[in-house]
Amino acid sequence: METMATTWLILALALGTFAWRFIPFAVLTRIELPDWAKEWLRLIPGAILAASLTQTLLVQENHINLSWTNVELLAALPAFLVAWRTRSMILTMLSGMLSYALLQYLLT
Amino acid sequence: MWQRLTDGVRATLPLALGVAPFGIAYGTVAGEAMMPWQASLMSVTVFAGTAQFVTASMLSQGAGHFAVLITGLLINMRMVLMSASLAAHLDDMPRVLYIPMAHLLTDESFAVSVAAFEKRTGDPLFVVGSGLAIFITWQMTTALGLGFGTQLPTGLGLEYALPASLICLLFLLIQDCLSIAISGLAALLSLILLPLLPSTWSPLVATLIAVTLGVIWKQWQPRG
Repeated sequence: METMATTWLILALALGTFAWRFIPFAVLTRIELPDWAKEWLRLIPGAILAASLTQTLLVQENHINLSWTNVELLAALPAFLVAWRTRSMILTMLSGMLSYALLQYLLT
Repeated sequence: MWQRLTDGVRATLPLALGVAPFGIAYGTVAGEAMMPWQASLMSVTVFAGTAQFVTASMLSQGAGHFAVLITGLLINMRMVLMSASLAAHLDDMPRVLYIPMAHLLTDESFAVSVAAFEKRTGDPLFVVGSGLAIFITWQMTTALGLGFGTQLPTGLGLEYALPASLICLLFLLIQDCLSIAISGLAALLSLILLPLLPSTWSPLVATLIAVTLGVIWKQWQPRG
């Protein structure tokens, strides 16, 4: 049933996303949003990404884990470096996966 | 008519090539979070990179579906800006074209279409063609990535592909000082809120607070 629920989630997200894309075409009344609203919309995706990545890397079972046992966090360091230097999706993923696999092998 | 459609496709091909690694990456990581066919369903129906990566990441961590939905919708909300800006260029177009133009809209096809309108070579069919180039690339590369993800043997760190992809997206998304500062604040707040909120909601609430504070702070700055 989990599969079913995920399917409904995908369809709901699709419908809402279509609404964001479609509403301005449908009304066509040239509503010009104020600058602060544009800025607000622009800043949202990066902030969500940063906050949710922070949870993924630092939080384990509702507690912040900053120790050497946090393999997720350690493997992020080379990935951050590669992302910063190359901006390449594939290279960042490969460096992260490799570090993670290596760390798991060494630390467990 | 075909001419204008293919003009749009052709003008967008270089950007479609740039989208390909992201589609492969999404396909590879999405298998960790959902069924392969659901990952494809999401690419066809949602068709928005950042939201697809973030929702896949949340699902793989077992986040509640309502929180995932709200997060995805918030990420995609800025599409209103692109649509509004594109709609302003189109006075008398057949209404049937609204639907493909809206659904196929991405950052890439938006950039190409706006450039075409400024050179007076743009029109609704050009916009649809441009969107189609990205859409088809996205579907093919999602499928390719799904193939990769399921073929890769365990022990190669595949479970880390998803966090790593978010790390790269973060660097691509936040470039200017204000967005770096606000994203940092959102990250910090999400940790501070941890004892107060369920962990699936704290990033979302932290984001809303940080972005709103950022916008207020910017409004108060003297214009120079």
